[in-house]
Amino acid sequence: MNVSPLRDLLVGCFVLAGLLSLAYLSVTLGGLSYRGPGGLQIHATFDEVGGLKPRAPVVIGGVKVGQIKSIQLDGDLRPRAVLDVDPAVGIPVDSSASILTSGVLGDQYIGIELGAEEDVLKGGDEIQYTQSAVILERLIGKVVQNLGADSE
Amino acid sequence: MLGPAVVRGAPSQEQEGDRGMEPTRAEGHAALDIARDPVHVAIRGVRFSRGNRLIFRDVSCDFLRDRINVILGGSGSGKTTLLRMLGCLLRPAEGSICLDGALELTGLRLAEVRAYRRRVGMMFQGGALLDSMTVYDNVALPLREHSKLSEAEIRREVHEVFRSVELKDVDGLLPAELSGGMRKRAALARALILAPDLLLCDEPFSGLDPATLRVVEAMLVDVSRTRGVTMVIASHDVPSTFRMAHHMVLMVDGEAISGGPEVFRASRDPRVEAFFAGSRP
Amino acid sequence: MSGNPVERLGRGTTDLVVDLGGLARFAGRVVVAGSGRPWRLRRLLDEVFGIGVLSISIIGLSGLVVGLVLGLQGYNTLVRFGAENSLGAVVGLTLIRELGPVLTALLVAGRAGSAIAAEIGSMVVTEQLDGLRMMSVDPEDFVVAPKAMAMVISMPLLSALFITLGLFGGMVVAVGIVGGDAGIYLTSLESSVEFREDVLGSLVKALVFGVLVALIATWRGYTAEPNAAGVSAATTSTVVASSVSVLIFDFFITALWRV
Repeated sequence: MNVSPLRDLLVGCFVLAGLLSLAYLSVTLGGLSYRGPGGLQIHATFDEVGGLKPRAPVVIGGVKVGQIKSIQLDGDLRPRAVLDVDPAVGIPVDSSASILTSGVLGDQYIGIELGAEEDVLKGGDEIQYTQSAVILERLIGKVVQNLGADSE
Repeated sequence: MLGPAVVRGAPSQEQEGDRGMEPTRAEGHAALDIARDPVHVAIRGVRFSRGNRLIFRDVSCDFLRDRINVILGGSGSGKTTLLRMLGCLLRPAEGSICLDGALELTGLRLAEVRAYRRRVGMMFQGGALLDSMTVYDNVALPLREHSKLSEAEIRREVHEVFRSVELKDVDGLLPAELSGGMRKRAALARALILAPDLLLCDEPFSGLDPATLRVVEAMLVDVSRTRGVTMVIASHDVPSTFRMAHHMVLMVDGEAISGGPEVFRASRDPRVEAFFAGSRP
Repeated sequence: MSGNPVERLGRGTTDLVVDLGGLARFAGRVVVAGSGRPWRLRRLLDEVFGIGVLSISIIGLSGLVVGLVLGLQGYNTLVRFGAENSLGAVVGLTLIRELGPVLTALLVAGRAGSAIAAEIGSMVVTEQLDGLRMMSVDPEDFVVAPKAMAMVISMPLLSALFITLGLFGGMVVAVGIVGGDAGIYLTSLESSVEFREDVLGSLVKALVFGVLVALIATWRGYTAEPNAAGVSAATTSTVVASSVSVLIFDFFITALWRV
């Protein structure tokens, strides 16, 4: 039988490259990855999360430091997000979290504005100050309402 | 798996006895008597059409055991079709093809066909060697598929059959790298590798120059003499047919005329005369 | 395999059903071949080489260029709404959900599918399949199954390569041409792609397309008329039939997978 080692090597490389691509798509992009057990999990409760979704980025000053792990309603039926952030970043306890939108119609994400305290948030802590998502439709609705009231 | 056992048992015994008679039959060859001679394959009342065209109206003929049987006929007369029926590659619409008076080919199921084909070798017109594999792998393929031989034993068998068809130093070549005559020999080697008792050759002389034709002809005669195999050859080459055939079948108008070479030499049948058109020796 | 015009018409119209029957029969044979002796693996590897490895260049180049185009077009459209930061999401979702598997299947059908049909068809012409039958070797097991299997294996891998190179192409545009930030591109990409909806859906599409192209190509070759015209007809109809059925199945998978 004519066995050709080079051919087999190329087949191996092809399969490997294909599997690596699949792994990249599934794990890095598809979010199958877990950001490691060292990920710091902190909570933030909002009045309104709008279009915020799990795996949306958490950003400090435009730099991504983590992502949203989950969003669920808490006991008071308020949406509560679990943020998975890099433990190396010390976030002061009096920091605030806001739901922001990239561009006018872009994806929503959480921006953290740092506080002044020396103490930093630990795993399971709650961010005290939060600002909910701006819902464009409601904003427009309010403007229209106000205009209507003015013209009367 | 009932079929194979039936298939195997009966003929091998018959063949043993048959081979014992070999010398007498060789002597009495000129006066072949179909009625008394052991018939390997009997074809009766076969009818076959392809599309609208009737190819076989009513074909009945015999092929003799351990002899060289040649099917002659014009192109499109159904030589290859008849050969393919013997290989179970085609099934007649009507009629019977019976082996050793016991095995009816037209009614075999797939597993039985497979078992039957292991005892049949077929040499195709273009060789039909797998062109992605080397000549060696091609010839070794039936052994690898159907025997439990080790690679060393396979190598020995393959080289032995190569020797018997006078092929040398072709192991690593691809079929496309062979000349026409060598390809015919390689095809013959593959057909012989499982030591069949029925060998079907489709146009073994097509596309060969006269010298190579003689070589292949001599090889087929040699195989027939040394291996004790029933050979059925579809051919259009008249001179070689009269030189080698023990039994001839002429396909004309959807029917078969059969007999020994001496019958055809002397025949005044207008269909026979029309086919040979003065080319009879 | 010839026949009168009515027979041919009947055969033409029932081809789809026959193909489905062939699929069922073939699936059984693949299992048999898969559990066969190790040297069938040899044939499978050779076929993966012919179908997969030799398609890498065309798939890689196409993926890269499609990514570049998507990047440019996406940017030009998004920048009007001030949403250019979502470029990664646009390129990524388009490639993963649709263009990756579909374009890969179309390219592979054209390159490898036609080659499979032509090779099997020419084996019919030169009586190689009959030769195998006469050796009691099942050509569907020996010839068809390794080719079809290799196609089903190669398609998802080639599709993943196409997508990955396309994403890279999009990033090249985002960073190199319109002067954006790689981090924003990747963030938008990573936060918008879902595993089940997008990546798994993409993989399912590629697998189904692989089965479709494999089946159509081998079947057309297998049933080719035993002459040169028959082989060329088999090759052409392989490309046409697999392209059309890939697009039709794409619609149905897209519709069903989002339920």
